[in-house]
Amino acid sequence: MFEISTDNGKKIGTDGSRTIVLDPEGRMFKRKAFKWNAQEETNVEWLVASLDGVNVFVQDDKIVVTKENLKP
Amino acid sequence: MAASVQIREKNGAGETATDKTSGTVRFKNADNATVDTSNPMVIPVSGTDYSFEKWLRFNVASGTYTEITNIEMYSDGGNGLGTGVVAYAKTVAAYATPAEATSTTGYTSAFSYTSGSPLVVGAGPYTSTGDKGNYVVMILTVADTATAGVTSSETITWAWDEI
Repeated sequence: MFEISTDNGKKIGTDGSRTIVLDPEGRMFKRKAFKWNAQEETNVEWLVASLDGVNVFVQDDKIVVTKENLKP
Repeated sequence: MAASVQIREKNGAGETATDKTSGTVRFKNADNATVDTSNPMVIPVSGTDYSFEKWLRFNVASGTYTEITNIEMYSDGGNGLGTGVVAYAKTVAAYATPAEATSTTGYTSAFSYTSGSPLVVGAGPYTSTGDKGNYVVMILTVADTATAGVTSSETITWAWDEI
């Protein structure tokens, strides 16, 4: 579970073990999803930091830096 | 603190809500949220059997958050339900008592909605609890070409951005 806060204008996203700090003009949010099928429901949560058209996606041990708008 | 989100099925004239976040939505020939084998879809001798509409709604049940945006629904893009079985979806702004569908007019195959081209449920921003975005209305059709038995499962994704 990521928490987003601000410190001196900078946006800070952390789950306690990983922390991303973003310049004030950037946007930080959590991209969440339920994935349904007959067997199970899976919850997905990514931390996303966007700045000047570049997106950083953080999920589990994976970090993706891309200009694409990735979806779970 | 985060928003506690549910996907709710709405039934009856009174719009009775059932949390389906971790549950099953059973397409059938009746308007209820019960997951059972009553009122099953049948393979017609000819033509198509249409399910009752499933009215689904994104709901922020509790929790605190700054804003929710970009509520979307999509599939993996491939219909794995088998020959003659198709799920359809559309968005609707106002509730109406779920009825048995008689055609697919106004609907789009749910499998044409993908992460790159999703069904937009609500752009937001939303900042409070309660139902958010449009209703998603889904139906299932079973054609006379379908094979009897249990179909393969399919995955539907509900996604949103939250601060």
